[in-house]
Amino acid sequence: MVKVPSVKLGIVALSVAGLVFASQNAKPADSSKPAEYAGSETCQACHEDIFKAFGRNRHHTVEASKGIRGPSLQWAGKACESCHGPGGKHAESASASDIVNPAKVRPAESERICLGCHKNTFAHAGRVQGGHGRYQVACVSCHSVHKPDAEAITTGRNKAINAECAGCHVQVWAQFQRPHTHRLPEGAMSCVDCHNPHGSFLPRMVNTVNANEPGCVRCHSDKRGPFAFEHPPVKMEGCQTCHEPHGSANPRMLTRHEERFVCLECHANVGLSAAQTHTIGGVPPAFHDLRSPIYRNCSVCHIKTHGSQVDRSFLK
Amino acid sequence: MRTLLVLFTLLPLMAQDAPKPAPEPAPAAPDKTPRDTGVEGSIDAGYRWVDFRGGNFATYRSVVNLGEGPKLFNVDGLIRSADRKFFDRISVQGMGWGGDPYSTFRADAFKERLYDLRVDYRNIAYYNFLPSYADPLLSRGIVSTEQAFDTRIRTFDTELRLLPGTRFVPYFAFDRNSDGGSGVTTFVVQSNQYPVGNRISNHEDRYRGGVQIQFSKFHATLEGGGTSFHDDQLVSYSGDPIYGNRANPIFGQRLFLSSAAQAYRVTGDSIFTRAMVSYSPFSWLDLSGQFLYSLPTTSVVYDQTNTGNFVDLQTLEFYASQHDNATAYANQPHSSGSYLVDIHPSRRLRILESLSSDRFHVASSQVYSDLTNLAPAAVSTNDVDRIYVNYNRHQTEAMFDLTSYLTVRGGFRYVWGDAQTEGSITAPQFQPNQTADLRQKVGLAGFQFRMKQKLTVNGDLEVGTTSRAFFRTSLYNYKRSSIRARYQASSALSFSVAQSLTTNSNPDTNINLDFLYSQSSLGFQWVPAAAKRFTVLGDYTFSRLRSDINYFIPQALIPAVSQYRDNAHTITALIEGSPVTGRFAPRFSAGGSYFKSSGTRPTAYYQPQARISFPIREHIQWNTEWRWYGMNEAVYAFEGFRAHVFMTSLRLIR
Repeated sequence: MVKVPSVKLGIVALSVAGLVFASQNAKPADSSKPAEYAGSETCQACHEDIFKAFGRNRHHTVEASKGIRGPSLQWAGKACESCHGPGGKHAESASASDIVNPAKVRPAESERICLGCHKNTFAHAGRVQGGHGRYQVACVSCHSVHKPDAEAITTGRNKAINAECAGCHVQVWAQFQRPHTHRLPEGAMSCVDCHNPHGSFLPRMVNTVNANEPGCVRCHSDKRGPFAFEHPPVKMEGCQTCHEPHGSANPRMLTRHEERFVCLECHANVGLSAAQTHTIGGVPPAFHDLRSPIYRNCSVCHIKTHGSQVDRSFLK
Repeated sequence: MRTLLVLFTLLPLMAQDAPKPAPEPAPAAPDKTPRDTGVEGSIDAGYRWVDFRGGNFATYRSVVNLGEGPKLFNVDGLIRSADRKFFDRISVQGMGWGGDPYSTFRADAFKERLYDLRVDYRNIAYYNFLPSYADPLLSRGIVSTEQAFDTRIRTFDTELRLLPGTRFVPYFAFDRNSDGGSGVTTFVVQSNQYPVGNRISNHEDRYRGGVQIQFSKFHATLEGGGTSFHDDQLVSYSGDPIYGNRANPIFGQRLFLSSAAQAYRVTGDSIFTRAMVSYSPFSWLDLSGQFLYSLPTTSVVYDQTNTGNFVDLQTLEFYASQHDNATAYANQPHSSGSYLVDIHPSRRLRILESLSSDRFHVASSQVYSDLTNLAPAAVSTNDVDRIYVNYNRHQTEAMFDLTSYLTVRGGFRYVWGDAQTEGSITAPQFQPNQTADLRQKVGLAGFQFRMKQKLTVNGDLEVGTTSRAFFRTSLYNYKRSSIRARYQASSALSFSVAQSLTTNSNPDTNINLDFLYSQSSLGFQWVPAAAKRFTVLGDYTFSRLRSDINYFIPQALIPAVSQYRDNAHTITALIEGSPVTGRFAPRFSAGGSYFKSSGTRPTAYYQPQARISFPIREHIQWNTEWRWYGMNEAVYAFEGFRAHVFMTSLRLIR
């Protein structure tokens, strides 16, 4: 009976596992031939349909970039290979394994290919707070690189964008089926009117306007201020403190069924100082008699809830 | 620290990918791709009928608002220039013209190596007259609202990008947003409120311009701009006395309003700047940063005149006329900045480290003058208001490709800040100053699993613990998780499943917040590419919201719990296809959405629809559509409505 020490067994097992792991992720053996570019005309020979559609896509600029200074000069006549990499070997073998397909590589690699040219967008600098890139959603998941631009107009741009987003964000689209919503289902607005899918300085990829203000004020500019008397949550936590921008069963897309409860959750009459509650807005007590209908609708008196230019209590 | 330095020194050695040499500049190839020319597009025009079957028409207008009459439902077109002298292509799209509540128009013009122009116009009706929103007289049986709007929000955006080369791309933009119309609001005088007419008129113009600078390793965007804002709201009433919401006399006298004029004249402007840079010194390192700054200011002139019978609740004196005016000024310097370090030392590992900071303060001053017929001279008061907010966020996250089909990520975020208000928004005599801090630690984790383009699963988890928060309802001890899977069973059939959950709790005995929101959804798509006979899409979503938070009932200061519940089912479905084949085969579609919720405000809202399209000739199509809008409120039954909407149109296609 031969005794094998468990430590040695462990080392052997780890080594084997490491070898298997390394072999799975090893790069393919270097070809004896250096990577060669075939040129777009060679691609056209087999991929006629794609080539034809691509001719009506904005990326076609890369193909016809003669005389342009800058990065795209490098790809004149080789637009296909600007994304797919050198296609010489693929042209010879016709094997899919000899060409890069951005739709099938890992999202990070695919993103790197696109960002080679598109780095200077709000996407890259805005990725600090999230964005689809953070969740490994590749650019080609949403963008069609080959499709003719004209196809988008046949269904209407806003509706086409909304359908694209709803394909993954089913739950969000369900909220838009509620009675009180922004007008996305009607096609008057699209998701990208409020969100930047490439990332934003603000959480949840909310668009910014005027450099660093929330995108809501792009259409609701009267709520922007600054007001002589501000309602701090509007500025500090945004409109979604009180509103459900994707849709609600409550009037005015409010988060609660009656106005008073929206207000009372912060203005709860609890505690006598901010030092006690450690929060802003909970005090002072308001002795309104909520049994009276007048006091159940706060905005009947506090009409300038978003901020007032005249009255500290938002009465005018 | 020394270890960190060594690690960072070694990072270049870990880089497996040597920078790829850029391909040799090639001579420009002759452009042999197809160049279509000509015009293509379609016009869809017809008539719509609305058969209102019952319920509250004001609610129908607030929710649906589709009207009768001849309409231009849709127009789109694409013009491709043959000689490409002034443009390569121009595309236009329009929707909902002819008095529809949502009218849009968009045009794009593009010329390679010269310009890219976008023009976008929208005219969206904002009609809102929901009795349950603000109806203090409901107990008297008067179903009305004292906060209503009938306005049009118009936005006009245009942007021109010049494309002289790829190194420098200058751009200019002009946007205009306006809101105008009428409404109902309350005129508040001491202890009574009078619903009166309200004229709304405001607009903002925005100008901006900048340049994008693009080199192979360095990119920058520099932008500057400004805005100009005007708000001329006018509240007015003149006529028979109105008695407002207070029905009971005070000391035997009824309060009433005979006339009122309340004019706001708000003018504002702002400047803003944006600078963003990104730099990739090595193939394994990307650096980016941005700085954003804005400085909006507003100046206000306010004037108010009213007559009637009013009471000063402090002196209990009655007065018959009042004239108030005010001037105010406010500004808000706002600066934000962030940086991101994106290190990918190997093909499988990526480290993201970012810091962002956002800080602003609002400073305002006001002079208010009040004159009544009781006083020989006006009483003037000065007031100031301040808000200071600092918000910072630091996040480090690593992503690692465990295998070619599994990526995992994990990280940590720290959020901190402080806020101070001087001159509380509520009664300043109680709380002249309020301060709050923010201290939040968040753990991050997630994964993505991909299998041969067939199955993709994304999972995400965020767990936060907070010691200080700005508001009672802010995120405190919270968890956010989501998992989303998509399975492509065949080229035609795909399934998707998603589940998300957010919980938030604040154990402070004064607050005792307990919040939960979950959503589960299931969807499928049957979209056969080859047959093109039928496509079927369907989704079902169930959501559950539960919120409990402590408050004191104001009139008695008795502790209570504010409870809100919302359990909702949403179904959307669409079947589309053609029962027969052939050149002139009709196509039909049917489906719609159904929403039903229970809980605090049980609501049902359904929108089934069916459509059939007959190709009459090669370029003419006849469309007929039926929709049904039905809404039912269990508690606020007076807000329900039912309506059929029919539409017929001819679509001319070129």
